Amino acid sequence: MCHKAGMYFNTKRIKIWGINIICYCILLCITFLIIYPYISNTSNAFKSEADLLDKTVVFVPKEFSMDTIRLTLRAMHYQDALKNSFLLSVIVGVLQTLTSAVIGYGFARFRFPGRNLLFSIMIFTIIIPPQIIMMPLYMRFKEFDFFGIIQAVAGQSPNVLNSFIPFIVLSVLGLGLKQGLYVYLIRQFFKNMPRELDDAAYIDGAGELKVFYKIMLPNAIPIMLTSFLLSFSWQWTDNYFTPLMIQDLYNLPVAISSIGNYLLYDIDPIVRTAMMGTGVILIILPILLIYCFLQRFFIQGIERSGIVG
Amino acid sequence: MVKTVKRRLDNLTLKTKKAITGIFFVSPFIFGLVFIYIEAIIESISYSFGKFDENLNNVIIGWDNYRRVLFIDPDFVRNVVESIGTLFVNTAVIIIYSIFVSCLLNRNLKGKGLFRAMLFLPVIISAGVISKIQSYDMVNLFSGISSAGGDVSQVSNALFQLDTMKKHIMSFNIVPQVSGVVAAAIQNIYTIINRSGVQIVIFLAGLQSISPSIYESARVEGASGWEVVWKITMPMLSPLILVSVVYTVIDSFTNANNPIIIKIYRYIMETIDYGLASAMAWIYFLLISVILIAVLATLSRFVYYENR
Repeated sequence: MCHKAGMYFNTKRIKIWGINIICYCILLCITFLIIYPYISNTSNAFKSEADLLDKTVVFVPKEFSMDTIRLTLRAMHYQDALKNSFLLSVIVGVLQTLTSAVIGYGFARFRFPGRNLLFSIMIFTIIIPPQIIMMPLYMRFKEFDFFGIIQAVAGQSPNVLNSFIPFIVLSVLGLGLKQGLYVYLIRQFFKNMPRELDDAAYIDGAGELKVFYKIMLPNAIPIMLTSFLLSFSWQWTDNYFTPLMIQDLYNLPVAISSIGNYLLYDIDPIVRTAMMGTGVILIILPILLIYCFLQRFFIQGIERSGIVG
Repeated sequence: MVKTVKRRLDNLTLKTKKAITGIFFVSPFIFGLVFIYIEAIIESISYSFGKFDENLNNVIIGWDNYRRVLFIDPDFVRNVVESIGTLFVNTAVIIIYSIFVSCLLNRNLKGKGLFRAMLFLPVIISAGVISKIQSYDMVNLFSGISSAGGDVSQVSNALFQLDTMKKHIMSFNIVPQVSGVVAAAIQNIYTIINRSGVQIVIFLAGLQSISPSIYESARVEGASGWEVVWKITMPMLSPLILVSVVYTVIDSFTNANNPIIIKIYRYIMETIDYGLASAMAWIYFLLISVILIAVLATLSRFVYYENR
């Protein structure tokens, strides 16, 4: 009897182990497919020219050399580009997150006439491709004005292109790139917070603003970090909107496309493609670092955002 | 003055007070709509009916742009039909794939947090300029041309001989439609893996929110694993399938690698024919909205809501 129970136990355990091993294999294959380009780019970055040409060298280079990286850093003017990209992305990320939190809170916790209409317009702004309104926005910021106020004061409407102003204005007004998505996520989160929480605060005499920043915002930190990370990294890699609004801004996406133009006189095409790959790694490295730190909140934020249920 | 305002505010009902606070919170967006967005949309529509003269003023010329897009342009209609076809296939495959992967991740594996983080990685990394470079890279990789040195092509030849694989699958030819879909899925494997990060997280969260007591009672009643999947897991996930389908469609529609979007962008940037580009964009947008509404209407009949 006892022996039989032991057998049963063992076969069951073996079965679970087998299934787990299959799961691991499948997951490993998928993750390998995902990170394969980055691994190969990274290993190419450390290869010397001879190793790049040598077909027997697969991932680990025979002799480490920093030549490709040094060359790429110089070709991209990496430091300048990094500084500019970082400044713009942080501004956009912070502003978009804060505004989205405010707007999302308004949509989630209050009833007012026209709320559903406004919310469907918000969804509409996600669906509409940014290319449609790119040109009108460009025109708008070329002659920027506030209902004619600036023109009345200064005599003419200023051209605010080539500055951060278009991004600041759009982010603060909830119209930034994909910002509707963040508003949606944050709204879902606030919607699922228990009503008793703010009722208790109101009874204790807190005003609406106080409830918002003392109770709601601290609870919403995971979802806000999620939205910050998304808007930060999407702004970081954006090569559509940013070059149109700020033509002179030298940021990372511009820098990497300049590698192609950086015709070094006698550089082997293989080295040039390796430089391109190195450029990709250099661009994503900062986002990767941030992702490592925020990754925990990130997934938690989406899970708790209440898209579910 | 201040006093009277304050007294007025005090006399309001709670409901009106709440409404005013709500509008106060949403006001940045209302302001943005009035100040920028509505005007931009109207302007874009008027561009689609017009043409720029030498002084960059928009002159209304009527339906000419639309006529050119639909009846004169040789590629547009074909491209749109093609892209909608791939959209359907990709969406179906992405949904099935993400349900499958989220089921794997839902098991009690060690290091599943790491896998989860990896699977979500493409969402933040491969966007914008990176996805542009990658899509170019992948084409090279798969066609066997070296992407960064000869070694890469060696590896890719050994690992993913996609074209051969596709030919094999097509040569089975049992059900041509099915093998066509499978072949397309294999060819788009990178697109699918890179675009399903959000969906996997959504399904994973959904799986974790199903209470174990339901499974337990099913097991007590003698349900088999197969029955549990179809009678419990799928119905409980069905609202999320709807959300994921909508997300996938919108994501691929606004994606910068979408061939139609590339075409529109090229018209804006290279030909500077903004009227034609706007007309294209609006036609495509209307089409996708119609498809989205149709899909929503069909799918929502099969969706099961627990609370209802």
